[in-house]
Amino acid sequence: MTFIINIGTIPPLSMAITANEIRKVVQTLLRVVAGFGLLLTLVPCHVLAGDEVYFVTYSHHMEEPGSLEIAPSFIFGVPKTSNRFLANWTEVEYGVNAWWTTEFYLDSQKTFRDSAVLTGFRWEHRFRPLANEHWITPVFYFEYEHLSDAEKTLKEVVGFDSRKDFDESNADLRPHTKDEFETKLILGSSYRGWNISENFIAEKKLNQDGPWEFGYAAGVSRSLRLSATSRECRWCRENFLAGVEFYGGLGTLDDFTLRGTSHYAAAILAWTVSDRVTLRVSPTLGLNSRSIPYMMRFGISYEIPRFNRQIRGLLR
Amino acid sequence: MMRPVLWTFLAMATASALFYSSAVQAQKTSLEVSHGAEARNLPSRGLQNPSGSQEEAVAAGRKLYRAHCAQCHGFNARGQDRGSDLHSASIQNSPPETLFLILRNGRIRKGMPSWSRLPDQRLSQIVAYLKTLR
Repeated sequence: MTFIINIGTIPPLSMAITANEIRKVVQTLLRVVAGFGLLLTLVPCHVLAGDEVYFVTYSHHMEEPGSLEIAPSFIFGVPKTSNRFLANWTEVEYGVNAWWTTEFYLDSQKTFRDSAVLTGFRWEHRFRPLANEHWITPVFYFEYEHLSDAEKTLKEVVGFDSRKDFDESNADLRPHTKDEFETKLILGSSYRGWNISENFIAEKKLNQDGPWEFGYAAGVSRSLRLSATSRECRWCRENFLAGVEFYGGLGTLDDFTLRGTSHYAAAILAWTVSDRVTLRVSPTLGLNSRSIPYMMRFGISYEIPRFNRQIRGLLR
Repeated sequence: MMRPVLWTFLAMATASALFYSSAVQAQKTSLEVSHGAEARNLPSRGLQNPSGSQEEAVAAGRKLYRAHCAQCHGFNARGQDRGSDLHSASIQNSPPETLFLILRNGRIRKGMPSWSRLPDQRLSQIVAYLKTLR
C-alpha cells in the first residue's frame, strides 16, 4: 500500500538542492506516519490509557518515570496574506523521575510555493515541586529554544505574534535565528473527570534586545466515559478524550495588553488506540484579525514504557 | 506605565495565592494519609463502584492495572526492582480510601507517579482489583 501526499513544489531558489532534500524527508516522514497510524488501527488492542489531549496547553501530568514518548505532530495553516504551510514538530519526551520530565523538540516547516526548512530545536524541563495532588497542582517549566524566524509550529503564542510574521519568504526568514529562554507556570486540576489546565508564559530572547514577552494557554478536557469497561475494546467511549483549548499573546513587559495580540480557540479530540499509541486532531480558529484564520493540528504519539531498562539491558 | 505593572502584579498575586492554597491543602492531605485518618474528608464518590457489579469493577481494574501499573509492579503484582509487592500486608491491610489516595497522589519522592490523569472512577476500579490480590 502506498501513500502519496503532495506537499507542493519548490521553485528554483539558490537553496533548491537543500530544500529538495528536505522536501523528500518531509514527504517520507508523512508517509511513514500515515502508514504507521493505519497499521496501528489494525493491530490487536490490548488495553487503554488516559493521557494528554492538548497540543499547546500543558497539564500538570508528568511522563511516567523511565518512559519515552515519541510524538510527531503537524500543523496545517491557512494564513490570509501569505502561502499555506505545513509545519512539523517531533517531540521526544522522557520521564527522568516522578517529578522531572524532559523533552526535546525538532521543528521544521514546508511553505507551499516556497520551500521546506528545518527551523530549529527546543529543549524543555518540567518540574513538579509538590509531592501530592491538590486542588490546583503547579508545575514549573523551563525551556531553551534555538529557532529561526521561519518557525511556524505555533507551539506557543507570546507578545505581539501575528500572522504577518509569516508574510516573508523562507529565504528571508531562515537566516535570522534566535536563542530564547521560556518559562511557564503550569497550573492543573482534576475535577470529576475533567482536566482543567492554565499556563502563564514568559519568554525572553537571549541573543537580541527586547523585553520579556508574555502569553497564555488554557484548556479543558474530559474522557467521553469516566469508568473503564471490563472488556478489551478499541472504539469504546473510554478511549476518547475531547476538549477545547485557548491560547494567545499578552504583550510585553513594557506593554502588557490583549490589544494587538493574536488569539486562538481549538477543539481537540484524542483517541487512545492502544496503551502505547494516541492519535490527536485539533481544528483551530483564529479569534481576531491578527490571528491565522484557520489551522488544523494532528499528531500521533507512541510511548515506550521502561525505556531506561531496555537501554540498560542493551548495554549489559 | 502603571497599567502593565498592575496587571503583572495582579497575575503574580493570583498565581501565588493559588499556589499557596494548594500547598496548604497538600499538607493536610499528606498528614491525613500518614496518620491513618484517611477515611475522613475523602472523595467518597471516587470509591463508589461505578460499573455496576463488583466483578465487573474488578475485571475493569485488572485491565487498568495491566495498562498502567504492571510495568513497575509486574503482571502478577509481586513487585519488581521499581515497584513494591502489592500482595504485601501493608497494602492489603490498608483501607481502600488510602490506596485510592496513593494512586491519585503517587509517591513522588519514592518514584511512583501520580495517576490523577485517570478519572476517580478508574482509580476506584484499580483499588477494587488490588483488594482481590490478598
